[in-house]
Amino acid sequence: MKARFIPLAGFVFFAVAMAFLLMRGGDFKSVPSAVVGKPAPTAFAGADGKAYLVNFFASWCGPCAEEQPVLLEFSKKTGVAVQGIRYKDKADSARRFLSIYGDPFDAIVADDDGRIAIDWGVSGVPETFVVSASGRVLYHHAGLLTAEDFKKHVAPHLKGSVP
Amino acid sequence: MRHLVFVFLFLIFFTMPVFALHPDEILPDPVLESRARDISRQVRCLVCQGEDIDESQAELAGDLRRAIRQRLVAGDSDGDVLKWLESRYGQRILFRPPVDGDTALLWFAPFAVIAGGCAYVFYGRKRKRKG
Repeated sequence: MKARFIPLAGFVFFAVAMAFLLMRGGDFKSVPSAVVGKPAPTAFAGADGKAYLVNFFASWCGPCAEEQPVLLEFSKKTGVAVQGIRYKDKADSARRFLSIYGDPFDAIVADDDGRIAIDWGVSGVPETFVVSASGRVLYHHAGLLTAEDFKKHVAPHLKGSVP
Repeated sequence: MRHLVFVFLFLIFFTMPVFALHPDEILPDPVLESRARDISRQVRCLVCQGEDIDESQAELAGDLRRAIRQRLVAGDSDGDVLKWLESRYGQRILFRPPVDGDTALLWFAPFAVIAGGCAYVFYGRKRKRKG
């Protein structure tokens, strides 16, 4: 190959490599999270020796309305406990919201100033976590959790009790 | 000409970044506050486009600014605070990711490319002179 084509070849190679990496994209909602593998920042009682879910939600959050029925349906199907964290929301607004869209929660903790969200590495609602029976974060899902997402990403962690 | 100077000054003044800091966020201790500002400028606002949390008006940015100040008041060093943020949100939250195995390529690739380009030009010249 003529030497003068080397820069062009280099550029083309670089462009193709970048394009490939961009196209590969992947599931942006389940990006590797910094919290996965670490102890759950908030302790919840009553895990009953099983993995459980932690869900950040708010009544003012549109996608959360879509998500509640999914959480309700699958929590019933799998018997998994769901802990709710009410993010910057009033108790009665949340109660109304859950009575409309479905209430999958065993318990709800209030995060009025957003500090709990920061401890979990959360940047908005909704976000969902799977926590092992021993309190270790197994999975972090940022954004709407669809039925597909549940089956593909959450359910695998719920089989048996992963310590 | 004087008009132009005036217009330029006017534009510069009115396009300066508006600081998003709320007065009641400001710490009473000026040393801690100055450290908080400095740290905030190194932290990416994750829900904005390229802003740091010192200049961002987003709620999350405000929450992060407050959390940083809380930790400084509790006695954390600057390094502790940045490490803590990285432990919650990952490297993406820092504008200056640490230099380690994963990020070595990110940091050094530009220099490698420039060096490669210079080498190419240099050897190209050398070959031309030989001919």
